[in-house]
Amino acid sequence: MATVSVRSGPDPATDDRVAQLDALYRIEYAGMVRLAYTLLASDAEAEEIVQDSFVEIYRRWHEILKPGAYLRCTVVSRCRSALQRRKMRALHPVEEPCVSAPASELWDVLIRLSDDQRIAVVLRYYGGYPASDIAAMLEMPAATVRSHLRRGLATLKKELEA
Amino acid sequence: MTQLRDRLERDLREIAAGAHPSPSAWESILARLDHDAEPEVILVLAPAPSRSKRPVWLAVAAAALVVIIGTIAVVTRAVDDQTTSPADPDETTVDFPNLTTTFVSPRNGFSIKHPDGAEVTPATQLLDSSEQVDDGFDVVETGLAAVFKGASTDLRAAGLDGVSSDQRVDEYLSFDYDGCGVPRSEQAEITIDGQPGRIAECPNHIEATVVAGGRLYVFTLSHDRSDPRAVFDAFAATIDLTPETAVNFPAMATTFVSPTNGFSFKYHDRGGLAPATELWDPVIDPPADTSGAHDGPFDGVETGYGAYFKAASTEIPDGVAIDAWVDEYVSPGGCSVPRSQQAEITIDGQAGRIAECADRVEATVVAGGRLYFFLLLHSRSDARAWFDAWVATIDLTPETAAVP
Repeated sequence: MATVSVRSGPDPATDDRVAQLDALYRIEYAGMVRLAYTLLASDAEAEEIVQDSFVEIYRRWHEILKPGAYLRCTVVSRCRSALQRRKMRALHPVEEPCVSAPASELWDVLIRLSDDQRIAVVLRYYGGYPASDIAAMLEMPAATVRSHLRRGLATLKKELEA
Repeated sequence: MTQLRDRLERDLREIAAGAHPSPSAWESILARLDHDAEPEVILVLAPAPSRSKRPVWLAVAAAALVVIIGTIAVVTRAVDDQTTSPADPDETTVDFPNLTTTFVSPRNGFSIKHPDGAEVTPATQLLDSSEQVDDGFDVVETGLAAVFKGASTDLRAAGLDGVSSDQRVDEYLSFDYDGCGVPRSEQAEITIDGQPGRIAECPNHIEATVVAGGRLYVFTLSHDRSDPRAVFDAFAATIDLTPETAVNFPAMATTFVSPTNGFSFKYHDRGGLAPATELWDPVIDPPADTSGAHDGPFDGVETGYGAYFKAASTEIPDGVAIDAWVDEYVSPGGCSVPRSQQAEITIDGQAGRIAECADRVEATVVAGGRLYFFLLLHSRSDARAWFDAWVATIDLTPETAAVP
């Protein structure tokens, strides 16, 4: 016989999704915040994006085969959207009140790259992801990612060695 | 460039270290889960469904991975800076089965021999369009602590057109492969099927590259053996490079069922699908062209690879002679060949006609009282091969077409 019950939300003690999310959190959270921070230079924004991504994964847990990969894609996608929103507000990243530009010569050059070039460079040389993985995260052909990397590296080389 | 990359990695780590992940983040997430979760209505039908087995097999898989990694011995081998050629497998003493079975790559333009019983997984996608690990590679799993892989890419597509310098190839490879940390120009030389290439060896991995016929080939051996170079050379000696047989268009794995035109086909999903928004009436509508101005009746796919597919269908008016009607309304000129004189093609078992000209391939076929029109607008040299591969995925279902 069927019975119907209503509950108000997850119970961490009994919801195995929470336990698994906790395991994912312990492995990935700090690294994802650092990755997001390296793209956005904002602690608050990086934390918010990564926490939002964890909440999304919780909601879609049973649809997701590889939570770690999904988390990386979601974080990168949300960072990319955040960069686009900044551009729409016509604010330079380092001029935003919540953005604290790292004191780094590299950062000064990095923010002059296009968003996709910057994301590709950070994912390749900080994240260590191959172009094919970056292509999946950015939903573009790997050849396009390589093109972004080539152009980004050329600009960085020119500016940093000037 | 290596110095730049070293600096990038170092400085990016320093920038990342400026982040301060909140120690109370988990509590914040938990609060969000409680707060955001909608009241959940649970319908229980007798025994509760069993929990997903995923955590169990994930744990088993992870444990197995740890065991495998833990058992991998670090095997080092000095890189020989002398020119070397793969040994003739018949003359080499290797503790490895004879390579007797020929595998012909369906996409990458080479063939290779492998031991009987090896598990071979052919490449299913372009190397540059890989969506999953290894789907651009032909993979030979020998079961003998050695996995041989091969792939290739069109140099023009890889942005290396006309460039043969080690540095550019090195740069391209560096985005996915590290050449064991040795720049290609400093790697040992190897000859594969008569073509000079380079080879790098590092613990548990050998990587060789060779350029032939405008393609860059990559061959790798992942291993846990004490004789990896001999095994690699044995495989490499059986390689035939046939760049002319390589496929340069992506695999089409996603099915589109037209809600309008009474057919389905497969395509490579990169977000370029544009379903028809209106019915097609070739008597009224202008001929299909490259402008995109009159694409409403067509189901179209922009591939992003210099190829745009368009397709539509329409009821054939009573009493018309199909060849003359097509010539007059559907494709005036038909690549300057009247339909009756065009080459024959079979689409989903129905006899049709096909015409090719400089920038288009178009085919017409009749099924269930409808005329189907399939068109490829392109700037590629392999357009006909791609068109044929596309046509092979088409199912004609005239009974499902929308009617005026």
